[in-house]
Formats: sequence, structure tokens, C-alpha cells
Amino acid sequence: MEDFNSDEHEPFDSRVAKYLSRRLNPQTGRAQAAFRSAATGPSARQPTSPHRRRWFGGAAALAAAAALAMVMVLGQRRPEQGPARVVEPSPAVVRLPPTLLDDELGKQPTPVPGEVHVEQAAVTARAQPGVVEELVRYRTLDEGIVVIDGRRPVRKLRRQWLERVTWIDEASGARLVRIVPREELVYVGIPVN
Amino acid sequence: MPSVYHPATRRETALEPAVDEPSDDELVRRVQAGDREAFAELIRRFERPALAVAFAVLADGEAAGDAVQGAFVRAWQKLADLRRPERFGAWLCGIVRNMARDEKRRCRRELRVRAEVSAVAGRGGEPDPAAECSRKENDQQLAAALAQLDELSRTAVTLRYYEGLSSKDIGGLLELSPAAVDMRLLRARQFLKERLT
Repeated sequence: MEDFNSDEHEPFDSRVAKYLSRRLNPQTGRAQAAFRSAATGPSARQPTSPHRRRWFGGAAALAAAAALAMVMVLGQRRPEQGPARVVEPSPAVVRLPPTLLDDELGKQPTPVPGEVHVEQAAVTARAQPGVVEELVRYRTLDEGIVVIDGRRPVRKLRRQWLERVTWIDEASGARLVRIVPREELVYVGIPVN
Repeated sequence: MPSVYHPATRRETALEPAVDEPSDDELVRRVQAGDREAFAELIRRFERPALAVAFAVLADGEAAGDAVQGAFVRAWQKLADLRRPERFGAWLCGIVRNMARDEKRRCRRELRVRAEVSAVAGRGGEPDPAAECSRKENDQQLAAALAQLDELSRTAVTLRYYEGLSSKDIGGLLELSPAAVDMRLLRARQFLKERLT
């Protein structure tokens, strides 16, 4: 089989290469950011030995059982209202990693008109004694185009988080659960001619 | 005789470090010993190939980015399981493929809405609407042709055309011989050319 050099490439090859670059280059850097967030954030988890993972697996299974109830809390508790802000369109959005408990959580919340992104993420175990599990669920609702300042059309996105942290005291079996809902409005600028 | 595409900027050993840099398996051992920065270096080396692998499954850049960032976090958490550090690339590609397939199942509806949002957000940025229309049409044809390839051939194509990997490197990631990679690339290129030219 011949190994042709670059002089013999055709526009077809260039077209395929450009097509892939246009789609994938904006995504570079996200993995690094996600890793930094996962490795240094409050829910960081080091690579674990099989023994530790079995223990964490049990804790995760317990947490999964409680997770469905937690989802219901989202609709019942009044969330903290975060500040609204305007951002310019950007293809690079750093998200938390997909959940390890997709199968256990199973059901997504009832689809909402205009919902653009729903994820639940990060069942993690920390190194500190007693802290066993953290679950973050978040979603983004697209609420359509609005006009701000009387002249700027923007897309209104409502981002909602629900963070649940469970501590278990191994000695007594006591559990402490903290649930923090948060909400943030993001206005994405729409270029106009 | 049809050729296998080799880009002008192709690095013969794109996944092999320079002489003074640690090898992949050395980095893996460092991560297993608790060195986070070593994993950051692995991400720098493998992010683009991982994006190519995910794109071959998802055919959507943003979804591929989602899958890849999740795959690297999962790889970091599971690195203790890797008994053969020299196979890190193939092991990572397996995780990326699985994450991409999960993402595909989970996000069918979401991808559609996301594309619509992107289309709205992008309006006004293209100086020539006719050129933009033509480019989109070409891209759709190319996407449709790529979709007709089997997943393994499509992955080989994206790794070659996006990252310019050698057949040896692609074979290492996909657990194929370089000759098998060449054959797949040759057939895939012929197939795509027939449909696009």
C-alpha cells in the first residue's frame, strides 16, 4: 500500500479535516477543567483500592435509595436566588461529570418545556472520616428570548442545582444530611446585525 | 491507486513523548502513587484523540466534549484498576466509548434542543449567509456519509483526520494492527469520496 505524501492530498481530505476541527477544537480544554474541579474540589476522590471501593459502593447504594426522595425536594424547597448575569455565547461549557448513579436514579424529572440540559452528577466519597457521599443534581431551563435594557435581546437560561451531602458516623450509625438548592439566571447575549 | 490520508502536519509519534518527557506508563504509575499533575499531563496527551473517539460515536462536538470530560474524571477515579499501564491509551478509549454511548442514549432529545439553541446564539456571526448555507449543507453531507461507516472505521477516520495519528498509534488505541487500520482507512476514504465528490 502506498504511503502518499501531503502534496497528493485532495480538497476532500482537507474538507474532512476542517469539518472535524470545527466541531472538536472548541471542546479542547474542558477535560482538564473538569479534572481540576473533580480533583481539587470539596468532593475530590483519589484513585481507590478495590477494598475501599467496595465500602464506598455500599455507601453509594444507600445514597441511591435516598436519591429519589431528594429529587422531590427540588420542587418543594424554595431555592436560593442567585444573581442574574449576562454572558456572551461560548461553546465551551464546563460541566460536572455525568453521574455514577444514572441507573440507580433512573428517572429524569418530568420534562419541562424549554429544558435544554438535565444532569445529575458526582456521587463522591471524601478522604475525611465520616463524610461518605455527595450528590449534585443540576439542570438548565431555557426560558426563551427576552429583551433587557429595552434593547438587548438575550436568551434567558435558568440553572438549578441541588447538592446533597450525607455524613454517616460508623460507630453509631447516625446520619446527617445537608441539602442545598441553588438557582442562577444567566442571560446569553444574542449577536444582532 | 487510492491512498490513505496522511496530513502534512502528522506527527509520526503523536502519542509518544519526547525523549526528555516521561512515558505514558510512567505517568500512570505516578498517578497511581498519588501524583495529580501526572494525570493532567495524560489529559494533555490524550484529550484530542479522546474527542475523536467520542465524536465517532456521537457525531456531535459538544456531546463529545461532555463524554470526554466525564471519561477522564472516571479514568482518574478508576486508575487503580489498570494493571498494565502501557495500555493506558486503549483502556482510556474503552472508557470514552462507553461514556459516549451512555451520553448518546441519555441525550437524544437534548441534542436536538441544544442544536437549536446554538443556531439561535450563532445568528449574525456569519458575514456571508450564502457561504454559511453552503458550508452547512456540505457539513450535513459529510456527517451523513460518516454516519454510514461502521463505528470502528469512523473512529479510525476521526483519529487520522482530526489528530493526524499514525496507523500504529491508531492501532494501539483501537487494538488493531497497523495494517488493519490502513485497510479500514483506505476503504473508508474511498467510500466517503464516492459520496462526496
